[in-house]
Amino acid sequence: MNEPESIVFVVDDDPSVRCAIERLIGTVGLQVELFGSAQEFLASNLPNVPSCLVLDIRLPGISGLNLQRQLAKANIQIPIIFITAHGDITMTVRAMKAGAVEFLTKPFRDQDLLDAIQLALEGDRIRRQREAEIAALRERFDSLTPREREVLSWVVSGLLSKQIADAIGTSEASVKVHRSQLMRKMAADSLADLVRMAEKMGIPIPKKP
Amino acid sequence: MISAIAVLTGSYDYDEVARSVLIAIVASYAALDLTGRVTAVKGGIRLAWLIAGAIAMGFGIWAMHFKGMLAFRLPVPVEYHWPTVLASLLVAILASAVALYLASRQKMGLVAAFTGSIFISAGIAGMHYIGMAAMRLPAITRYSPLLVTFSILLAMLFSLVALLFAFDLREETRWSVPRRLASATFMGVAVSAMHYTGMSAASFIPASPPDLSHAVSIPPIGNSGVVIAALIVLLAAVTTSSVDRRRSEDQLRLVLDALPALVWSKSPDGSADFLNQRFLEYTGLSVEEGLGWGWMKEFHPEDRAEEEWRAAFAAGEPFEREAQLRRADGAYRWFLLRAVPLRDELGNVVEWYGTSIDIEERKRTEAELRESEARFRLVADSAPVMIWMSGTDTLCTYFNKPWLDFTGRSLDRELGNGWAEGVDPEDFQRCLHTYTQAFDRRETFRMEYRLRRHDGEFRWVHDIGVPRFDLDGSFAGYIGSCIDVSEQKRAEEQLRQAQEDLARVTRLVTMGELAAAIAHEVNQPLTAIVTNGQFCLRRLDAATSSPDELRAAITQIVNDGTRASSVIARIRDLLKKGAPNRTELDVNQVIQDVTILLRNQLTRSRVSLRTELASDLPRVTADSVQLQQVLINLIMNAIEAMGTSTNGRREVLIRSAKDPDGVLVQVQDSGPGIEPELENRIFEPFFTTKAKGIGMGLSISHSIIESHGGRLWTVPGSAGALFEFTLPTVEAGVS
Repeated sequence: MNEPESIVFVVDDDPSVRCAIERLIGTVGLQVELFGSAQEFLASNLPNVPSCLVLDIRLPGISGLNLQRQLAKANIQIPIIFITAHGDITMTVRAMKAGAVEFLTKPFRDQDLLDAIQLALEGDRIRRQREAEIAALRERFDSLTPREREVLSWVVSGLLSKQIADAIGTSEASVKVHRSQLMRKMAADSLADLVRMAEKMGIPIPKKP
Repeated sequence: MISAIAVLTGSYDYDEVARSVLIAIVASYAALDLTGRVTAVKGGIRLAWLIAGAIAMGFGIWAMHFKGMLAFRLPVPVEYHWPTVLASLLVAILASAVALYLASRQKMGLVAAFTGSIFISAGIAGMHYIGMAAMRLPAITRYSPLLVTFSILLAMLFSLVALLFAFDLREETRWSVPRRLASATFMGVAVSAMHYTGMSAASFIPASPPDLSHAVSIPPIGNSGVVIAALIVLLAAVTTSSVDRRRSEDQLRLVLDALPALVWSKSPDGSADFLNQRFLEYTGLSVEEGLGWGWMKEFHPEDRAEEEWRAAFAAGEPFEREAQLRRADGAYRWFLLRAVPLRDELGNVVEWYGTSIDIEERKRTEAELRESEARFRLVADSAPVMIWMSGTDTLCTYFNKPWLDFTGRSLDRELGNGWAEGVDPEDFQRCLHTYTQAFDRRETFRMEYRLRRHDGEFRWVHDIGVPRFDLDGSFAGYIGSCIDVSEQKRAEEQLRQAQEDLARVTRLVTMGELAAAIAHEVNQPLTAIVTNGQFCLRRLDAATSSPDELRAAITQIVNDGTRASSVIARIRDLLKKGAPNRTELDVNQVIQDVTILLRNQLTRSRVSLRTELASDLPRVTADSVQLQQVLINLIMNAIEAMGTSTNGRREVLIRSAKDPDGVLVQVQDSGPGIEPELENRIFEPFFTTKAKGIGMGLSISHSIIESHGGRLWTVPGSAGALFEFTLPTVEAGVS
């Protein structure tokens, strides 16, 4: 952990609770930002760093669960740790299904909250990493010619060059040219590497004819 | 012996004798007739009739006697000493007066009759022999003692018989004239017999001429004059008597005809012999048709039982009966008949006198009364209430069938004060007090008491007594109605219990709704405490703590602990059940407590709460928990009234202010307000507009405020729903 900058957002309407949570999180050296309501949180600018949200369910105005929904709608993928004075099972299930990291009942154990925060931040970091990777692959993929993309899809599906030539109605030699071109453009070391890249990008793999 | 001496033999002029007998008969008739008159009249007129009658009758008797004397002819001239003649007339008048007086008395016993007859006969004999002594003739008069005695005895007998006749015939009835005539004839003959016996007792022996001083001879014309004078006097007397009688009869008839009754007289067997004009007019019968038994067919066939009538007449006792009599137009009307018999001294019925009075109206009134009574009884007996009535003496005079069915006792046992036996002894004194007090004031009263039912169970009855007044407005007693309210009382008790339970339940329900909020309220400070505590521990573990950092955290722990404690204290207050605990308090404080309790509720419902609290409020005496309950109820209602609408403001405003009554608190929301037609009903128990409400909140709030001496109401026409309540200040409450 070479301390990439990360941030923990806390939304709770009770100032005492907010303040105590800030202190607690401070003990593990994480940066904390406090909000009294969902509206305040939505109005703020979210920095592009690994982050997570400690969210009270019962809030004035927009409730915690409502906020979760709004964030999902806006495709803001921030891991959420719910804290509530009295959560019932329905509420918990709803929150977890919608992708919450943890659901803690007040008062919670300090370690539980800190663990959940660590988990959430780690997850967010990984997500961010993967998203960066995919973005790079997409960039390479976009540089391929349409013919090369077609050949790629057949290659990852496991066809031999000759078979590909038959399938797309060209010579085996030209398939081999395309293949070497695309392997270079995609910076793939091997066929296995290429298949992994296709998987990451979610390129549909055609069935063998 | 006497015959041995030369006796003057006399002869009778038989014409004169016949005339004397005629006068005797006429005089007798006059005597009987006058007796009737004297009997029939009263007072001064009676005395006048007695005197006039005595003169007429005396004159008649004397005239007969004198005539009889004149009828006796002697061969010597006879003159009469007139003073003596006048004396004999006077004696005759006196005797007549005695006879009339006796015969016209109300009663005549045998002793009176005998005594009277002695007096009268003495008078007549006196008159006769005084009259004889008036004779002046040249002879000496000798009397045969035997014949004189015989003549006196005859006179006595005649007097007795005459008295009895006169007494018997004095009633002036239809048949009195012929009967009197017969009696008069007999009497006239008897008088004559006595006279001529007396005459024959005398014999005349020739002697020297008499002293003729004051003596007069009676010429034939004078002789006839006596007769004529006597007859005229007698005729005048009888005529006057007859006229007088007719006039009095006419008067009587007028009176009878004027009577508002049918008047009749009937012979002893019941056949009618007199019917007054009204009777004839009513029945439309002629006299001939009505007399005899003709009256019978005028009765209604039902009342015509002839045998019964005959039996009643035969019994001879006064009797009454009611019967329907046909009117001329054929309609039957009810009459009351009264018949009284007139009896002779032997007790035989001589005549029936009767009246028939029209009682149709009375009968009809009676029938109507009976019908009205029957109708009342039908109504009273079929009414589903128990009814009683009492008179002016407070005693009960009537109980209807439902009452008797209820108590299972007979009317006789309930009447008077009998009903009191069924009243629960515990309630009796109170009831009696209520009853007698109302009775004295003639006021309507209501009371409830336990009354023993026929099965022995005491049931609560509600009794309403109302004074009764007659048509003329005079107090007539009371009429009362009772209903069995046991079930109602039980239901009321159950309802009261249910309301109490509901109030508790409502409070618990409200508590339940609050429970979540309370948990949150308590959890928040706890969370802060725990978290802060953990922070401190971590710092201490890591040995990186700075005292300032720890102090700040621990200070917050203490604050949050106090906060949690106060929340719990409020919850305890809210959950406390039992008698209200009133203390002097500040209404603003209660409002603030409630807003804290409801903060979460308000937040969740996205309702903002605004308070405008007056700073100069007087303190009030109240139960803080109950006041909280009222405020929570009003605020919760306000929140619910605004529903889920997002239009415009969602705000609850609580104001407090000084008020003449004490303290005024307003709770106003920005919702749609109360529909005017519901305004009157919202305080009723179980009234609710909420799908899940039980409708007790406002009802309970209302009673809580009222129990504090305040008022709770809505202000119509305000923006949103506006509830206001007042609470009296401490001073006002004390005074």
